[in-house]
Amino acid sequence: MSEPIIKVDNLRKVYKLGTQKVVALDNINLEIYPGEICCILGTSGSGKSTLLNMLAGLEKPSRGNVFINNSSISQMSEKELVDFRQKYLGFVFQSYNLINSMTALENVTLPLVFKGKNKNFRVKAAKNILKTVGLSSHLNHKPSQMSGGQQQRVGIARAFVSNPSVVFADEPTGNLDSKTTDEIMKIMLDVAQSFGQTLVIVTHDRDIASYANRIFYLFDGRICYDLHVNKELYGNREDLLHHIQEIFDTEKQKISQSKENSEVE
Amino acid sequence: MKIKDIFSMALGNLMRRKLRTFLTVIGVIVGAAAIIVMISLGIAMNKSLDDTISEMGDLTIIELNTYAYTIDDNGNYQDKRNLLNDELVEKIKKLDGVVAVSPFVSVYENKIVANRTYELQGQEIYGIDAEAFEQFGYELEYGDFPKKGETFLFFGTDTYYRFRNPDKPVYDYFKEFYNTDGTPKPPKVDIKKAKIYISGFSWNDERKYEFKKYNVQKVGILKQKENDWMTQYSIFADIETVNKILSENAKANNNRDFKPGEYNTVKIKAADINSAEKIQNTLKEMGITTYGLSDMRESMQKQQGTLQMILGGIGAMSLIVAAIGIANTMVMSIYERTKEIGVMKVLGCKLSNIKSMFLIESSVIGFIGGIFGVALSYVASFLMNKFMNASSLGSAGNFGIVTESAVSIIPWWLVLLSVVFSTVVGLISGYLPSCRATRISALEAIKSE
Repeated sequence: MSEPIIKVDNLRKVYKLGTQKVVALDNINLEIYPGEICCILGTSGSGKSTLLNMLAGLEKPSRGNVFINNSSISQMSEKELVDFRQKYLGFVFQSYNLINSMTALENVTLPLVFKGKNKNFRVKAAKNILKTVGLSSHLNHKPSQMSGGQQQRVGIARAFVSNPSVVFADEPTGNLDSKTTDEIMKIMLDVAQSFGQTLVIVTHDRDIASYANRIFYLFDGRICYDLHVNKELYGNREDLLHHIQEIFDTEKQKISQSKENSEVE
Repeated sequence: MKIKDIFSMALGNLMRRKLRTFLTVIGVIVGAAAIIVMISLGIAMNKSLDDTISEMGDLTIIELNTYAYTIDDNGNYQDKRNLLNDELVEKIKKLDGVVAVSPFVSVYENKIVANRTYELQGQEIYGIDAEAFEQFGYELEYGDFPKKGETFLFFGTDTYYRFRNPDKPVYDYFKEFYNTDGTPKPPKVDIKKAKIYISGFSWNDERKYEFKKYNVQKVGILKQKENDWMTQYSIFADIETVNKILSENAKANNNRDFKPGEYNTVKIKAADINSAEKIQNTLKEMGITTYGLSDMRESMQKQQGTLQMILGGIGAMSLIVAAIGIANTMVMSIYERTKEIGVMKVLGCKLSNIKSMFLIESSVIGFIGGIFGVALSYVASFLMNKFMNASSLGSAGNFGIVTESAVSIIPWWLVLLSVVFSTVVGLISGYLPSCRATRISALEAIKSE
């Protein structure tokens, strides 16, 4: 395979809560390759959001390095990070984070405005991507006039409009019902795959994970399992979900056993 | 980001919070208008002061007197003699900014004779340099300006009809020259056509002295200047002739104090008020005491300066309050938009662009406030000029000369300056809030629900 687009090297993050130190992430090593649909799966408190923040350069690690496109984003200044995000990264948020005063079209053009593209280009690109996510008829709607699913589709369009190399999605369907979740995930995968973009999704939902072709299972700040999903091996999603379930159950058992052992010792 | 886009986003943000923007702008309008009106009052005060003084005489004329009184540092009068002679006049001529300089000599003991019959006696004649005559601002109702070396005689408006035949005794001077309604009777001799000579004259009949007769080559009538008695009651002649008459008179009266080539008064005409001040300073360094209306103007300006500072201070204070208002609005708007700013940062909006956006917002508030402030101050100025009396303000009215002048004057540079100034005030008020906006953590902003 080619060079990894994201490389994490011995990452550690420690929060200080008063006098107490809380290890949120420890000894994280991973490599993600271009075009992969990755999922960081974990229960709440497992450190998955912290990991995403660090991958996207929103937070600084206590130790270790994150490389995207071979540049170490952990070393970058705030200013350089903004430039970097503008060029290479896209974001989809759980709470959509659309700007309420702007229409769908304006929200989607925003990353291109920041890039300094001219108006014709912006509007054309935004209309295109909004068509792809199925919102051609809602160009001039404000966020308050749209449903959650529609808002998230705008969010997805906004993340992909500037053709970034990597798109990060933090619980993208956390606020949506299961039917809409299915739609949203399919749209996101479609867009990412058609442009060969790398997608990193953070979720606690195993259903969501089943859309990915690579799953990192995060538990207690560590990656306990790195599953490469060969979709051809599974007849349907149910089988895959079942498999994931199995793996994680055994992993959990292993961990709790090792903990008990260490306590006995 | 393109500048156009930064602008349209900033303006969009202002439009989103119409009421708050409007209220903040009102603050700036009041502040800007306060400062403009206060400054306009000061300008009008200075203007009316200058008007008053220039009604009293020309600010660019400096007078030197032999007997000068000055006030020393202890507030005591000092008696001082200035030596005013041709040498000094020549020296002054060479100074920068001097347009003309002339000694002023005067003679009472003289006789002007027209057509051998009609005489005018004891009317004060001033001797002035022929070349300086025009430069000192004298104008002629009749006649041409004199040339150097010409013997000329220019009559004040109230003098030339006073010629009379000395052989006919006069019992009532008023009836002789004026009608009962106070208007002058037609002159007995047409000085425009008459043959005229001047000569010295002595009241002392015991000494018979043969005075020389100086034939007048050019005759004119002065145009009377407002508030200038000299152009009304005096007669001007060339200084050479007057000097000759003076020395003859001295001889006739056996007056040994008379020193030819020394003058009681020398007047200097400067190019403008500033050069008048410079010339005065140079003369002071030369040890010569001067007198000019600009001295008076200076001390009056000092008095008004204090009043103007207080007025300006009041204006400045209201603008400072407006500036705090802008800063407050910007800070509020940043709190409100924390999440939005964070999202923009995550989406790749450069820090400098975020900063510019906020600076533009605050500058626009300042700019609009400035423009409407100018409009408001024009209205205020108009109303003040209409309903207030100029002499009630400042010291200009204290001199008994009430001039028709405005209470408030807004020159174009003040308009420009105040718009620029309030924009800059907006920019400065927005600076700290805009720095704060760039420091908002993208992560915190996204988290906050």
